[in-house]
Amino acid sequence: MIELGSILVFLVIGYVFGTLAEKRHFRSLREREVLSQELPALVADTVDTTQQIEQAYLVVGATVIAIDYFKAFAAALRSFFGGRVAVYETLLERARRESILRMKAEAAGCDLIVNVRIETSSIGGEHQGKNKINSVECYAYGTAIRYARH
Amino acid sequence: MKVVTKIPEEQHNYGKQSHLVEFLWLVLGVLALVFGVYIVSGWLVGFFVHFIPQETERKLFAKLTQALAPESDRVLSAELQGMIDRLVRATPEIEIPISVRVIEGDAPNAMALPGGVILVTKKLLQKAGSQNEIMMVLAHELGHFRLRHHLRGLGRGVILLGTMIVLGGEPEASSFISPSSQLVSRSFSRADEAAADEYALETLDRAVGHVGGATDFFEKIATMELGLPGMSYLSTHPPSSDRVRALRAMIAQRGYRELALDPKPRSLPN
Repeated sequence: MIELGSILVFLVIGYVFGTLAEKRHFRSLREREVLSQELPALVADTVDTTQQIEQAYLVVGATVIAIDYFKAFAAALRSFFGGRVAVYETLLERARRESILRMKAEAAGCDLIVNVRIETSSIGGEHQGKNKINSVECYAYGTAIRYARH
Repeated sequence: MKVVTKIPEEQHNYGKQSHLVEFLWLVLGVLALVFGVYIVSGWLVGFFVHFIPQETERKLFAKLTQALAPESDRVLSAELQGMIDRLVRATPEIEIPISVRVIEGDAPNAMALPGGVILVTKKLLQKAGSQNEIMMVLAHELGHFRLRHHLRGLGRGVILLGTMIVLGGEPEASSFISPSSQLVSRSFSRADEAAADEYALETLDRAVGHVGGATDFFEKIATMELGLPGMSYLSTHPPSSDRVRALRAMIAQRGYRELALDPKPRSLPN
């Protein structure tokens, strides 16, 4: 019973803090996305060749987000039945959008980022001899373009 | 080409439903799964154990019982053996020799080891007021043999272990399956105790001719138990006050007589 009690405590802590952080993060993402609207990021690997390009360089943005106990638990339960793992969907969405925003921050003063790619990797740990994912890293990178000013 | 940044009005990449609601559904689903598997297999085990001969059970556990059973008091054990023999004579369904051993112990307690050995603590003999009271306790332990409770418990344990191995891929999930299936196994265990009580009452009536003193022991230990409401779901035995009530109801319903009690034999401790 003590076992069950400690699980419950961890779940409550994970849920309360995880949900608060997630809500706050989504709000902040939205605000910063609006602010950085002036700088488009494209997957296309071509640029407008009618304009003279003054500078082109690599920009990167990396985010690592930890999984809380609640998310890990809910995902483990989900694996019995299959289906959408909603708790991880929001986690990865946050990591991707945050990475793009950080990449954009590196490209301050540029007109465009092209050839944007996103890599995801899990940072695992070992638990009871099993590989267990503790946090996830999203790494966004692209080529920042600055056109010549006339 | 005009390149712009579009921020979608609505997001489509993740579900909008509350994680908590989803989580609760998942918990309910897994609990239903585990309870379902466990309860159904519990019934199946309960059904099939009766096909295992008692002699097979005795042979199976003979070594274990030898190793487990501590030193016993010969004089007291012989006294109790007489009572057990009297009970066994009244129940033709018991096919294997049942032996009884008296052991030291701080609590008034008796237990049945698998394979036909009953342990009784000296403390219980001290607390007991009559021979009938002791015989009721012995008959209850006899009931555990007759109803094959050890094999059923063992079978359920094996199934629980199997379920844990199959579902145990996720450490978080199995850590919560284990305590919740304990709740189920304890409810089985409480049902076993109640069944053994019923058997004991019948056997006592057949062996002695009346059921006087049948509830005495449980009444004594009822006063020693802490009465926390709701705790009965966590315990392996039903609360003693409930057991007394159930026995009383059975006595009234079947019209068992309650005559004068036989005194406790002099050789037993006071």
